[in-house]
Amino acid sequence: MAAFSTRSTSPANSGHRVTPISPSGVSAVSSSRRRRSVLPGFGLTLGFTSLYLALIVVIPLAGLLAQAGRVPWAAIGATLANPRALAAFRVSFGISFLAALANLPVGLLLAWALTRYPFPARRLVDALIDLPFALPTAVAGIALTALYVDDGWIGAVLAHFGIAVAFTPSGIAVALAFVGLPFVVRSIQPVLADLDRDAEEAALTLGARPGQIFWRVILPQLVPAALTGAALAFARGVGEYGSVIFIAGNRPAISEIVPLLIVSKLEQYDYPGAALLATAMLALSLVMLLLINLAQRWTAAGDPVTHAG
Amino acid sequence: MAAGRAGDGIGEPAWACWVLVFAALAVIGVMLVMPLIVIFAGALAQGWNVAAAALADPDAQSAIRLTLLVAAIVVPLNTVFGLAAAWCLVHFRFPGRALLVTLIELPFAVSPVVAGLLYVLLFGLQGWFGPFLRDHGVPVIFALPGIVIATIFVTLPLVARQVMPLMQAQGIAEEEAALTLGANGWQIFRLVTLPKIRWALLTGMLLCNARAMGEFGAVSVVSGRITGATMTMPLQIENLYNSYSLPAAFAMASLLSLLACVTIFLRMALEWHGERVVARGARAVSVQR
Amino acid sequence: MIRLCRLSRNFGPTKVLRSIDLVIETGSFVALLGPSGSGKTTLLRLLAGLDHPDAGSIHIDGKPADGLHPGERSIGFVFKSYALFNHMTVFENIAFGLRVRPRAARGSRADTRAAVERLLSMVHLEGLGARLPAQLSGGQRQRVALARALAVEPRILLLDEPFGALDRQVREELRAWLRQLHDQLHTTTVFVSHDQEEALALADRVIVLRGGEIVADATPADLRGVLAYRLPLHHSGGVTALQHG
Repeated sequence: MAAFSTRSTSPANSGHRVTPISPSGVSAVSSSRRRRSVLPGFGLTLGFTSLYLALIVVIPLAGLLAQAGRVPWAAIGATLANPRALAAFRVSFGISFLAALANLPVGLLLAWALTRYPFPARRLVDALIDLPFALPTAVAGIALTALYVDDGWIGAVLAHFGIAVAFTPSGIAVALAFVGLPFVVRSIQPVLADLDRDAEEAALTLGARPGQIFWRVILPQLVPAALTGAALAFARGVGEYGSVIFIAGNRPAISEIVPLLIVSKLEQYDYPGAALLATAMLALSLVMLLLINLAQRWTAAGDPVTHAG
Repeated sequence: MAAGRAGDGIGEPAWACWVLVFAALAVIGVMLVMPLIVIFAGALAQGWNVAAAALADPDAQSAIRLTLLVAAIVVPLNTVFGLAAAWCLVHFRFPGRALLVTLIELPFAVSPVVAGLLYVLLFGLQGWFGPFLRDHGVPVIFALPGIVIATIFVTLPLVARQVMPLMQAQGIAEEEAALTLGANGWQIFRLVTLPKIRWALLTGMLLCNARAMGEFGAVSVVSGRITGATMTMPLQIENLYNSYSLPAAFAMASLLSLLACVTIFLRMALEWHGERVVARGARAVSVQR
Repeated sequence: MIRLCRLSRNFGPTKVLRSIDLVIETGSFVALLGPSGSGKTTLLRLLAGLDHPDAGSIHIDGKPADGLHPGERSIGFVFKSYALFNHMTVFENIAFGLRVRPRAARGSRADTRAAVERLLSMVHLEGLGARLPAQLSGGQRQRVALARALAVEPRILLLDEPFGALDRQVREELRAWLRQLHDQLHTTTVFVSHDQEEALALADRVIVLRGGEIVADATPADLRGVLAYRLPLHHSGGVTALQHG
């Protein structure tokens, strides 16, 4: 063993003029006195953050749950499971799902072109991807309606083929696809940008064709991020209101989304009913949020995570 | 965003690259650019004068003023919150931290209509605080305070989410150094941390502003739609649209669309600048190692 | 004088420092030597107040340091990564400690400027005051970090692997110069190193840490004598370790 110890050479013997340490009178620091970190401001920021969140998020949520709780047990089924409500859930969740699904190949195409091909004005085009994010939903709503209505620029073309979009469930799908697109693209882009290009080159040298390389080497690495993006688009689409109500038609049981149903109940002063529907939506959204977080951890699990500090 | 090693792709032929690029541009054109153009076209459908007159209309003016007022209140509040939350959650570990992070993310998972509903339930006549507020003459629902609170809820995460990952990545070595040099908390935050995060902070504020001015669902539920008093721009757009004053509706929509365009291009500029700063710093650090 | 009494620090289940007893005389130049994981950086941070012990105490000049936060302990700390304020110029970096003092204790702007200029010439960086850290070489950044720490006239100077990332020639120049500085200023200096040769060459007293415990505490001369008959404690890659024999 290479280690050696000169413990016997106490400080007093090392030639240093040092008085021996006397342990008497020294109190041990109890760990309860140790603060969490040395940087100041913990109490202030924690207090402010908690207060803000309590006032803006927690108390209103409690109010929601309290109101929802006022619906008698027997009536819960009637409120949530009546044909109109069920249809609204089918519309909201079903079409969001389809729109998110449709956004996968489209988002992938956009992410690929923007990452791999440095065409002129690429940065500008890349900035445009954020448009659905930055554009007010009502503005998107009337714009999409104007486009897809039967005499709109796109609607007229589609009408030739007998396809009606505005005021049908298809209109909802178009609106939700618009709203969800940035989520998919922005989820895939960073992963795509950080891919190990050497692996692709290796595949090339091994004789793989471009399509094979894409399918077997690149795509599998993008799947977690793509699914996360689609899940985020789905979650956003389920709650979407402004972009949808102009183009949707809003006919109960056919093209009525859950948020609209909630608004109807509010206008009839059925607060408990509205609260119950909202709670159901919230519960489902939280489940989705949880799944998204798990998926994101799965995405990150492949990378060697180095924790700073 | 790194440009990647352009030119050495996966062996795809040049024509395939072009096809993909054009396909992408076509998709962006149809899905994103056309809606933008149709707004401006709709505003000018009956000529520039009609559009200008619509914007000069007193109701339009009051809607614009209200929207700006709401943004002017909401953005600073959520900015302060975002900074405080980032400082607290990034620099310290404590039980309940994950809960706070989840609460901050929550507004993203909530439909805007539900967000508005939360406050109607709380402050509406049938709500917990409704009678109390009515008795004291403080209108919240169907008035500015309600709109402000609902908008705060919806835009709550935006600044925090921009700032937190950056602070996390930057570490606290500089803050610790400032601490050893005798700086107090405010000095450390103001002189050391704030300059490091300012681009992310500005981006967050920009997004918060865009969302605050454009919020529709939550405000629609909470505002009562009293023309001239509680109609924000998005609500006014809906109003005009439903009464078939299409050019007026599109004129107002054009204003918000311009804001959206400014937001996304400013964001692009800020990120580009921030990237150059980071790259310079990274090069500097790599020289050290 | 710094006195450490039964100082312990755990990170989770790992005992990083085990009941360290140590006294450091005022004005001495001490090296904390050891392989990575031996607890030396942790010890330094505890001295600085950047971390808190799980047990034991620290007394500086007879007064308990426990309640004092880093700014109050009159220490200067040079971080391994220098931790310069990258958005401030060299001048502003060095002036920082002087400018954040409470108004009453702050000097005039002229005083601050004079102090910074003095420090710049002490570290041989005259004329570079307007540069940004990104525009400096590693060795220059190191000296700015040192000047910044010295600006507040600390009683104790703590350096965490100050020369680790620099190339050989720069390292040797800076070593000589740090020693000179110490001889000039007589500040109590504690520096952490994993480089045996450096520790033995620079310090008046070398404390060897391993596994959270002090395994040796002697003057370089004594240690060299012992090491002549033993294998080196460790091999630090790329850095010459003492050969036996």
